[in-house]
Amino acid sequence: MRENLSKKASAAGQGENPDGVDAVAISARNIVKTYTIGREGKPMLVLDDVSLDVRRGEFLAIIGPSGSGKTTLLRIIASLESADSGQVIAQGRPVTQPSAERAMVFQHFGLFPWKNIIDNVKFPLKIRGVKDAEATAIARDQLRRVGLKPQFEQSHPHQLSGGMQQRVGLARALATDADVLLMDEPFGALDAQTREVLQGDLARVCAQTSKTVILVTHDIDEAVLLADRILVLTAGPGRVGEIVDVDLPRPRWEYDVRAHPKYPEVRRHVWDLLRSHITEDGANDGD
Amino acid sequence: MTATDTKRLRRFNTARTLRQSPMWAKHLTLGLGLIALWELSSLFLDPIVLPPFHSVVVAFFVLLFNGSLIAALGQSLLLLVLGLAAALVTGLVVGIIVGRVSIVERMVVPFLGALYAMPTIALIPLMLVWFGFGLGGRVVVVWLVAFFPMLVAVHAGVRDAPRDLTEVARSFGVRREITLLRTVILPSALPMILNGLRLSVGRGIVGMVIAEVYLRLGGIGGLISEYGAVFRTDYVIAAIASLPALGLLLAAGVEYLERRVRHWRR
Repeated sequence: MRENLSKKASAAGQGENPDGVDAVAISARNIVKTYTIGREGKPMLVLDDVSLDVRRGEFLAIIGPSGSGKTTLLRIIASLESADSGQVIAQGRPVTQPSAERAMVFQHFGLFPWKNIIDNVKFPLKIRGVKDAEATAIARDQLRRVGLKPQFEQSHPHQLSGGMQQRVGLARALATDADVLLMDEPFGALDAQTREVLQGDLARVCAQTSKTVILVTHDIDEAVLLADRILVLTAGPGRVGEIVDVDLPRPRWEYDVRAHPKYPEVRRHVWDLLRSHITEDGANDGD
Repeated sequence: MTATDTKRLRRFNTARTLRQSPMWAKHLTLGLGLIALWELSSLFLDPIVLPPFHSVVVAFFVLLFNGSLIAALGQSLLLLVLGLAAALVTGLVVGIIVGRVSIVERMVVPFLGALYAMPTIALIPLMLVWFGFGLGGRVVVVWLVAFFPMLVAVHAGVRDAPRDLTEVARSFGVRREITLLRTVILPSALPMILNGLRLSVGRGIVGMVIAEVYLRLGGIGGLISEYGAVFRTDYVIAAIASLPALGLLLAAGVEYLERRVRHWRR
């Protein structure tokens, strides 16, 4: 089913949607964002008229050179920042404030150091007023799903490795039962081997739970490995460069994706797009 | 080897014995040495200027057994606890407001600096006029000296609450400021707040003695000035000696709290 969705994918921002409103989980319309650095600095255009549609159950990767505003775009979709103009629409309604319906996974994990692991995962549930016993049960399930052993439940984040901390971050996002997961370079702070293991686990978890995922990354392999479609942003200001279909068979954790004959082709295409947008004086990433 | 050489060697060995001794033995040695020096110097000085150590010990036990030291400690402790509690509550409330409302912060920060630097003792005559000589006036003095360290610590802790974590909370649906305070800002500021409390306790003890000496005779400060007035310096020193004990007691309380919140820090 995920295959079909990705094949039917059309370029975003064209207004007309052949699958009807129901198939779109979240969309951004004509997002414009400028930053002003310092009190008298002149405003810098970060995102220039960016639109995108993410289908229900789709895994969309956003990739772009430094300064393309990819993190800013995700933060606007999450409503952690507001756009100068444009709209984010989820389930047919404009999004105005952050909500656990769009659960975020953070680059630096975002775990509360004073809470133990299970309480960190229970946090979004407690905020929503879920009873303690129920929240504990849900948190346990999700921790097991992301592959964290029960003996770590009472540990504190600093006692865990980075990879394990991000598993907790993922479990917390899953515990919200949100349909949409927003991931801001979730594996950017991890070493290469841990990253690879977690990418595989993420692919498996997303397929099992049929989540809609928006993943911001600067890692082409990660994007190709995980995504149904890859949105390539141009460099400062960020515009939608191209949306690339990743036509590789699923489930991808069952074979070596990099060994697939189509892999180099997709990878090179994304890299060519990126390279044409990378400028040596690329401004900062905003993250 | 000459006789002086042997002597030097033996002295060297004494130093080494001390160096290798356990810590408590070093402390004991220093303590006993100071007491001996004190006892010795008092032989050459007027007992009003420096009463001998043994008469201070006697005075201490007299005060202890006639009940006046216990009663004074009780009064002082009550004053201290009331003043510190008031400083803690007001410091939290004002510190949170200053730390979270940027307009207020910009307005009051320059004034805070000036007030923090001001010696509180200068305000005692005013406090006397405003709040009287009773327990109220004394509590105000303790509050006054303990409030600013508390306020500064709460303000800094709240202001520096990690923005990425408040963002995490918001992203999971925390909307109300009070929830944000409870779930993120206060827990992350807690170590700093306890640091402020520790400073407040130290200054509070100073404020307590000042209040008791100047505003109304009572408590430990009362004992000190009462015996000072009749030049019984042995009793004065005996009363003063109970202050560090009070300080250590309260510091141990704060330390206990700190240990309980420290488990999540590296």
